[in-house]
Amino acid sequence: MSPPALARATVLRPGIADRSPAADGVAGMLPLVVAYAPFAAVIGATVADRGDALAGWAGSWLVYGGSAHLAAMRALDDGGVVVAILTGLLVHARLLVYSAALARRWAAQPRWFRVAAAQFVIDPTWAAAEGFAERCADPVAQRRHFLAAAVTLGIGWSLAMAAGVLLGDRLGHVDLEIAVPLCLLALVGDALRARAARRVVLAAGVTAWLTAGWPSGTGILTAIAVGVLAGRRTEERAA
Amino acid sequence: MTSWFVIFGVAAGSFLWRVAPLLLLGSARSRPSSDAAIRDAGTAAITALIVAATSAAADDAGAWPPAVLAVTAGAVLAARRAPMIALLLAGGAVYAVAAGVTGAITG
Repeated sequence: MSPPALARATVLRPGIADRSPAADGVAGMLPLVVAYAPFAAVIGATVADRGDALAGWAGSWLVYGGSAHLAAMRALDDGGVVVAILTGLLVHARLLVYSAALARRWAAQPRWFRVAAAQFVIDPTWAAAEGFAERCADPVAQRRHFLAAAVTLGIGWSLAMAAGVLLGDRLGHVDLEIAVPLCLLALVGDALRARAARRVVLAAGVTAWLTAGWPSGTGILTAIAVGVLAGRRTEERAA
Repeated sequence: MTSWFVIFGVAAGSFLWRVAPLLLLGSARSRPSSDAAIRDAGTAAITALIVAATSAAADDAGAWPPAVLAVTAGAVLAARRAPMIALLLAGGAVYAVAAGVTGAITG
């Protein structure tokens, strides 16, 4: 199972190839915007509860990543500014992986695009970019698709977070957080079917569960390392 | 003011995470083993986030069964290529029912 197949199966539905790349990017991202809205609202309510709501909301575009944003704001209460920043960066360390994957895809892209697009690299946009690149090799089309998808996600994300900021405590009695793992599951749908990738999922999942009590971000990094080792071991056995 | 420091700090560091590989690795020669490792790392990263998010949802609700059942139902649907909206609706329904049952049992 490859990331393109992974993305194609769940994020980008077949039958939309007749649209322009930009329209394709928007259409592919809209279901994710709807699905991620509860998560963004939860973060909005959390940042509103922790003082500077405007700073928290601005993070929707500046940080452009819910898990790191939320972890950093929560860590601010317990550990102060430095710990909060390090926590956010640890949680976002996985972006190195996504950017490394996209670096191969975007080797022919101009430098300005790689710099501009970097800000928008996150789980769903990575999956969408990989999926589109599998279907279309044209660099110009890939640029238009990625930027349209990324801006669509950003607009939806920031609007939902603003709603969370405004609603604040009124969201407290609604269990919205369950929407987050359900959204993310859609991104690993194919991995759950392919045997080799399933071992990666199993190894990473068990490791993440065992390391849940570790400082923010370190458990995720450990799970990534164990998942990669499991994948490598599986490939060695197959060879 | 401290919130702004945190947001700008995380934003700046995150941008470095994002842009460095795009600028430095683009011309690097691709090898099958490294490509496979990157691919598996992406899958593992999202899996770890799913577990962390499930744990957070369970803590938020004060009980594990509803979150675990909802995510299990979502995983079954995801493996069957169900669209994300279907995962949300079905998982949310399972969660609501399980939370109701758990609440009734625990009083």
